[in-house]
Amino acid sequence: MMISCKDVAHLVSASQDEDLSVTNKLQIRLHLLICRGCRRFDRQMHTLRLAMRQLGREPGRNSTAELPDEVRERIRQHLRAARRSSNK
Amino acid sequence: MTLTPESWLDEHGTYLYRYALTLTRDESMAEDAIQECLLAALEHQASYQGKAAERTWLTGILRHKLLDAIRREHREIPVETLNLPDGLPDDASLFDHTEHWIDQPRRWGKPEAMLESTLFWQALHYCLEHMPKRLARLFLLREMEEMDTQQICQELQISPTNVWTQLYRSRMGLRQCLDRKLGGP
Repeated sequence: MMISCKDVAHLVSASQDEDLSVTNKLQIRLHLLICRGCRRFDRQMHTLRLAMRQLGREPGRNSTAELPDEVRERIRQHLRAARRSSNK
Repeated sequence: MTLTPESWLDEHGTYLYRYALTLTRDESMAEDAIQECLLAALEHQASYQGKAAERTWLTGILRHKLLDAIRREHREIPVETLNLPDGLPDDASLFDHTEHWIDQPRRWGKPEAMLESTLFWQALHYCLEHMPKRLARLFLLREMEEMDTQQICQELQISPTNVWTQLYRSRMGLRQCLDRKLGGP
């Protein structure tokens, strides 16, 4: 019945992609009761999930990347060319 | 309404670029997708009803273009053939022979507090930067775009087992990187 830290790591990751069986959920909970490392791991994975979801909602968060001027110019020219050919 | 495609670039270019760069981790892939997105927007502007905000409409088109690019890449070089080692930890380096942690996970702050912390976000971006790019893209489709594993299997033509394995490796790698950057004792 008792599962290892490695098993917990695999199951906690799997739980972020699919529903686990009742047995698996119970195994994780029992293990977390007695294992501080895995309790921290579980919380870290939860934090990571929340952060990634937030990044999905605000993808530019903390990004200072700028579209380089020459790329902007290249795209601008493509747009102009496309408009001209569609107006013909 | 007068539609001016060039103003899309001025008003939304930076936003679109940051989105594309976050998802692809690759500058030229992001730049190409933005160009394709704006050309497609120009072509289909008649079908834009103005119901959604302009930015939302453009982001939707960009997302399609990015998925096309990622899909193409995976068709050409399946993720199965990626060579190990790729810098991500495997179970043998994380767990000892009794399957206990070799390095105990460290204590982070409360999740809500972490999400408010500039240090945390800097560390997260750093760690995402240092992941193998193709694995990062697969992981970001799952986590940022919230695609389910079945959709990812279909989009990228890879098996469910492989998706789970790659997601597990991505999470363990990111977690370890973040733990080193952020963890207390």
